[in-house]
Amino acid sequence: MSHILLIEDNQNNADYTIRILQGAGYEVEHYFGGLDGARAARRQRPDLILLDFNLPDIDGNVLILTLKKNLGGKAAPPIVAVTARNTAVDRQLAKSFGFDAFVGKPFEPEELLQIVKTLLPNSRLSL
Amino acid sequence: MKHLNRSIRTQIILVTLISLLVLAGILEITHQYQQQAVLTNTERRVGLTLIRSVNNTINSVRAFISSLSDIAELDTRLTELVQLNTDIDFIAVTDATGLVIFHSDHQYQGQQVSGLSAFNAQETIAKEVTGFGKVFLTALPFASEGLADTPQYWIIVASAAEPIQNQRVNSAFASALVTLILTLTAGFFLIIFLQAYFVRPLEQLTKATNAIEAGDLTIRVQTRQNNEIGQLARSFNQMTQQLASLINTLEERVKARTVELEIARDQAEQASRAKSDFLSNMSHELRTPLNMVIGYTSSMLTMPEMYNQVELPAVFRNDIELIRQSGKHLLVLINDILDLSKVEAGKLTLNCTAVDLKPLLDSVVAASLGLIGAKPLQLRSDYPDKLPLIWADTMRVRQILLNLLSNGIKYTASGSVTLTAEVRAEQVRIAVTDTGAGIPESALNTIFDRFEQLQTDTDIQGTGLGLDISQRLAQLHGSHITIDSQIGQGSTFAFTLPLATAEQISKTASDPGMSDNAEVFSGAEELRQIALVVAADPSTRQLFRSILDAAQIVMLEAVDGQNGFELASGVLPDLIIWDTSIETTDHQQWFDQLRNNAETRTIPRILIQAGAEVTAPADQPVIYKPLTAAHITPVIQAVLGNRKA
Repeated sequence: MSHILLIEDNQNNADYTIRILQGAGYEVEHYFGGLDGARAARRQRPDLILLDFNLPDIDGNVLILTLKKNLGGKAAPPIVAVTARNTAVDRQLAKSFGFDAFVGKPFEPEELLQIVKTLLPNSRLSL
Repeated sequence: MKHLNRSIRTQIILVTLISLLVLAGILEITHQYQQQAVLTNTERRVGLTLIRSVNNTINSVRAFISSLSDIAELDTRLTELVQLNTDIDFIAVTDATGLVIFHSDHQYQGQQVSGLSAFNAQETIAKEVTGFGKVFLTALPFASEGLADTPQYWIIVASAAEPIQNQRVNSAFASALVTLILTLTAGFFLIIFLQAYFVRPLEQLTKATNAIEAGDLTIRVQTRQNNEIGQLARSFNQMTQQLASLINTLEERVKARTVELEIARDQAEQASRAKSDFLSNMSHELRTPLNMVIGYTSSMLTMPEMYNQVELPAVFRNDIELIRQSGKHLLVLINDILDLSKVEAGKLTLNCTAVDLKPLLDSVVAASLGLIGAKPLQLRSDYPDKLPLIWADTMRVRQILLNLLSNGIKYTASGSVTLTAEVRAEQVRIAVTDTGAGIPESALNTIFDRFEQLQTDTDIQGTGLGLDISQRLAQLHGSHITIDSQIGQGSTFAFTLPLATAEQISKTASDPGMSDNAEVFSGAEELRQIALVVAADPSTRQLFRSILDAAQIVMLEAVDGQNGFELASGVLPDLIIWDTSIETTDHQQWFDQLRNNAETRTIPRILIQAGAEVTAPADQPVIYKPLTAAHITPVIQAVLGNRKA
């Protein structure tokens, strides 16, 4: 079962994302804060990280960098930006920060699942 | 200018000299003529006097001639005569052969003279008689009985007058010489005067003009003249002064206006930024709740697995779908407003790629089908299966097409809305044609204006921003949306897009375009290093930010020890820069934590201390204040370099 770490400061959005992913058979762990999320990521080594760009405790660009570095650089699990900052510029910024994928809010369940499935092709779902 | 000057000077010299010489010539000729007249008169007078004297003398002398034996008597009388008559230099008497019988100057007596035969009885004009030296004489042939053609004696009377011929030549030469010298002297002074009076002021004017031309407006022409040149110089000075003050005024005005404009521009930019920021934030804030609206309605409709495999009962489906559509509509409006603010700020840029038009057209048609509802309306696709690649921003073209199709569907009660595409020259022309009411000619000009809507149907919704944004997006593509409309027949909205060049196509192949809302990026980015700066002093943090930015190192900052440790333990940066110079109560405690924590203790640290008197821990580099980029940068490089190695 693939393990997904979600770092998201909005409870409702987090719930929505979690339900989509759990509905699709993924195991999801959620953290509100970027620093807590980063510590958890180092401990748990998730298969994929969903990261809100705009967190109150740390800049998204620093957090993605530290996650990547802490989790082995190129060998690190894919990290997806999930953000309401959804413009072409935001997207290019996300790419330059090192994110592997981008999901703009609002998103439909299928859009998120498409990305996750693309990034975790070999995971066996516990459906 | 210089050439003209020189030529004026030359001209003055030439004209002055020529006119003076001509004048001198005329004067000299006149003078010589007068002189000649005077001399001729003198000659005549001298001649007459001589004749008179000679006649008198001869008459006086004649009596003695007959009795030449009494030389002593003759001598006395003639000597007396010579003394009495100032015009007579001497009197001599010779015999026919030229032997001097008598001379008032006794030394000549007994000498022989010649040339007397040249004289005759009528001749009174002076001739030279050899023997008496260069003296002009009058000689009369004389016989014992009177004047004779064959003289027995010559009575010679020498005039005391100057040798007139010599005098004449000498005086003419001297006069000419004096005139020439006077002329040249006068000419010299006249030229100097003319130079000073005319050429120098002109030279000054020329110099001043050149200086002004070079931008020096402080120059003034010095003049004391009251004539036209002085007038000119004064006018020139006045003009220069006016010019200078005019330029000053102008410069001051420009400066003042520039400052005003800069202030206004800054204010406008600030306002525009504030508006953009506000709209961007608002858009962000609105998207977050919309995520719930669109997300959950979608999941309820399509993802029973999220609801324990319970399908949404059919009785709710329509309403839920309506909520979902409304949510999407709201999203379009939010995007429109955001786009418009960006277009206005000039910040909307295209992300062009080589686009395969066919799937894009298919997808917008599919997306628009839902808008028809219950209307007896057909949405037609009229384009070939194979279209060449175009160079465009997919998202923006989709936006334009969705807007045109939704407008067409919105304003057409029945009939059809047709999307066409065809290749024309190096472009693809895309058109949306409807069979709606058509647009009145009076409205054609304003239809692209913001907030403008056709008020034919009060049911029609929208912000009125769509066409304005679509037009601007088309313009960003170097195109323009045109309208062809006839009342009762319908309207055609059309624009063109350029075909992609081979170069653009190959560029796109290596950089796959972005999808609408979600995408997976390709290619890994280089991971930059992270430095954490813990410093209470904002200027210290600012200094490090500029240094680290320049070094392409991502900087994280904390104001106090607790925050610093929190960040360090969460992020595990590549470098920690810890400022100890501003002591806070908890500073040492958190720094100790940092050094003891299993994860953070291996992170390289650089300490900043106020001065060398504080003992520094031996196990890390220390930078002492005052801080400068010059001594910070090498320390950072050394620490990070070591770590990399």
